[in-house]
Amino acid sequence: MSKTNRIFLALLSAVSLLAPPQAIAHGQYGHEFRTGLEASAALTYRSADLAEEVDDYRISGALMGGESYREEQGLNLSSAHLTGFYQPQKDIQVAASLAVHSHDDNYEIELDKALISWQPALTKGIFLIEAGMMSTLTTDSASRHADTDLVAEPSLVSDVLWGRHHRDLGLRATYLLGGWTVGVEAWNGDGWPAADRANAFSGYLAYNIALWGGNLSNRAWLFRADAEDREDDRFDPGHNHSDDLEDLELPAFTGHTQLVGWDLDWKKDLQTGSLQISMRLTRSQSEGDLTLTGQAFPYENAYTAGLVLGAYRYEANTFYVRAEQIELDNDFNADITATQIEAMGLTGNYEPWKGLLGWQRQTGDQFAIRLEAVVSRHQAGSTEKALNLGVIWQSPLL
Amino acid sequence: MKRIFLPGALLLPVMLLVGCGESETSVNRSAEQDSLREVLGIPEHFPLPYVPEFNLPTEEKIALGRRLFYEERLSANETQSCASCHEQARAFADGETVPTGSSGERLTRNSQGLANVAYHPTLTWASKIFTNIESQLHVPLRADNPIELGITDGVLDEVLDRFNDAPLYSQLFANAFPEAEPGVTINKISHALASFVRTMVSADSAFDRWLAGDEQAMTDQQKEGFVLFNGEKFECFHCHGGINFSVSYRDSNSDPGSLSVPFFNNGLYNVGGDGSYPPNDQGLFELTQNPNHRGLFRPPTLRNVAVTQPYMHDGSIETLREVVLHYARGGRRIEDGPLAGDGRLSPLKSGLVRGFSATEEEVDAVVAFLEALTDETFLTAPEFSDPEPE
Ligand code: HEC
Ligand code: HEC
Repeated sequence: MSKTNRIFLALLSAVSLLAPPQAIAHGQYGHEFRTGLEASAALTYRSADLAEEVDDYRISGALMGGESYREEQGLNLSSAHLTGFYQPQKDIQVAASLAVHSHDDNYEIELDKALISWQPALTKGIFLIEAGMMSTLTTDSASRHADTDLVAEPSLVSDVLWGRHHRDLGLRATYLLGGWTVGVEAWNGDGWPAADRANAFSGYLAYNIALWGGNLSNRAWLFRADAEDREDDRFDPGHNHSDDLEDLELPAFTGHTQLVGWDLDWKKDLQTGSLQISMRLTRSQSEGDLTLTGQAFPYENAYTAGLVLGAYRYEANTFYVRAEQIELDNDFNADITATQIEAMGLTGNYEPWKGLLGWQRQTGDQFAIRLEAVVSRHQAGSTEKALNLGVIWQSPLL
Repeated sequence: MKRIFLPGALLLPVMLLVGCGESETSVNRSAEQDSLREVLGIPEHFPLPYVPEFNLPTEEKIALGRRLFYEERLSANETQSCASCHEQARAFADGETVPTGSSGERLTRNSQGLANVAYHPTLTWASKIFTNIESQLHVPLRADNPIELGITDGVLDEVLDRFNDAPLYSQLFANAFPEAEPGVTINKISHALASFVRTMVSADSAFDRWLAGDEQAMTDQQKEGFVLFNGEKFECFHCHGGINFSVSYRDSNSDPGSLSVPFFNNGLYNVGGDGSYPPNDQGLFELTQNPNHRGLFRPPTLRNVAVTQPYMHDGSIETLREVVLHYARGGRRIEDGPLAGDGRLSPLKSGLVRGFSATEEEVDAVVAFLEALTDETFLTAPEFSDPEPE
């Protein structure tokens, strides 16, 4: 196939994707302070395990960690939140959110958010300061949750690059003026990919313009985190349920990781619904040492991830399609054998990908149901398929 | 075509984004690492051993070391060489319970095999002070109690002159140490010998071939034995794990700051019920005098173990089967005599030697697996043999 042909085909299929979403609006990017209590939950029945072929959720060639647990076959509470907002005075809001996550048949309740926001009155633009436990707002790939996202299926990009979701103690300053938004964040340095209170900071710049009768949001961002002895503790004895982990020696990472991304969203309201096309292009680069039983290997990686989402809402129905793929490059500047690399799970010579087609239907104010057909490749040479059938519930309680 | 169409179409825009690149894991070794591998003859599937900066190997040093290894003039009375206690066909062990030195004195410890010695962070059965082969070799060369090769201070010059006076050796020494002052020294001898010993890498056993993907290389029984060896019942791998089957392991990637130099008491003795070992050799205790160190020994590599009998630091176990049964019992019981005591009850025994009940078949399988670690290539390799057989 010639290069022009390839590009043409790619464009064609991109156009075929021109059918997106109406991500259920969530407080994430809003700046309206209020007092209230709301709850949400997503229950999903999966026809097959995510990453069926592997005992645990690993992708060869990817240095993973955080909370990227394998989703298992059967009925699961994918995610649930109880979020309270309190506005003691005009320019202040306090918010806290409890989340329930499930993995390996255990449910964990954790504090997902606890932050205080201050929005001083300005003559020009909006200035917002937030401090507390929160997720980075550089990109939504860092904080996807099945109960607040259009899609139930975890995203490969989030799983590999963000340990499913980022959460840390931090401080954020955001300034909005005209169509522009600029945000800077400083972190305590405990949220994956940072570890052990190492430095972490991030920032983003976004602008919105009108395009083709819709709105185009264009966002460039950077997230940089240091890590000190960061382990993949998804397989701690408490978390792991397979006995045969002896062959697996997961290294700890010390060094820094820098993620840069470009996020594009085009949304257009239609008479009967809306259309959305989103694209995420992310590159994560790490440099440092991998250490394992008293050995240190100078190491670098570069992971390039792309995600495309298209959603088309027609009245109460949203049809969506999402595709993502990651290229995983690992470089050892050391004398290391193939067996050692394999034992670390970093052999990676393929590009993991995941694609899905979905349909969501809003049934009344509080409920929606969704159905997704997922195809993925987590391991070289094997394709996995699954169907997700889910219910989402979102409700203001106060 | 139809089957790949859907995911294919979905992925096209993403591939365009990502740039159609291909995932790759690459290893960038330095030129120095490559040349060390070549000189030492390290196969690709083996890590590069630790080599001290002060004695980088060269072909010439190795050639000299090989000759010296088989050289009887290296002992004071010209009766013994290293090879007297380290025979290639036995993976450089000697088949004796304990060997006899050149002057007829019996040593207290069993001669160790030398396969993959380069991958141990400490040398000998139980010592923390010998952290490179060069320093350890001063024992067989120079020690006077007991005497091995017996190059004690009194005869040192005489022995060195044997080599200075031999034209072939003066040439070999000059080639091996071109930058040093002329003349044979004991350090040049130990450096050349250490360089040769470092090339003794055994990496071509049935197990290695199986590891490389040859399913037929090990029998089903041996594969079952490997699983048992690595299982939580037998627990062997806790002390004999890794590519060299010893957790006392070091290679070029080991961080000198966090080197682990483990020693264990595997319950061979419990003299008097207080965990003591025979008074002539209590392991690491001999060096540290710390009573808790009685019976602590380095876990040896198990490569070629089927040809290095008898076993343990004092050669007190005859066969591999008995070794496995010793672990199954959780310690050895000696009924009577001065060494009487039940090792299983030793207060100093490692918690990893707990004993277990195993069927005959399971014991056989583990023994069969240990036999799969025999490397015929190593046992017969011409590059390790006597360069001038009589
Ligand atoms: C009289 C027998 C004898 C002679 C001769 C002898 N060795 Fe040994 N070798 C031993 C014994 C016994 C040990 C174990 C010593 C201990 O644990 O204290 C040993 C240990 C070693 C070790 C350490 C192995 C390990 O796994 O840590 C090396 C290396 C070694 N010998 C090399 C040599 C070289 C080279 C020579 C010739 C210069 C030599 N030996 C001569 C008996 C001998
Ligand atoms: C707690 C650590 C530990 C465990 C567990 C252990 N070993 Fe050992 N092994 C040692 C030590 C230490 C020695 C040397 C002891 C001595 O010489 O006194 C040794 C010696 C041996 C030897 C003799 C090697 C030689 O060259 O003389 C064999 C064979 C052996 N072990 C096999 C096994 C097998 C099979 C298992 C599992 C059933 C096992 N070991 C479990 C620590 C251990």
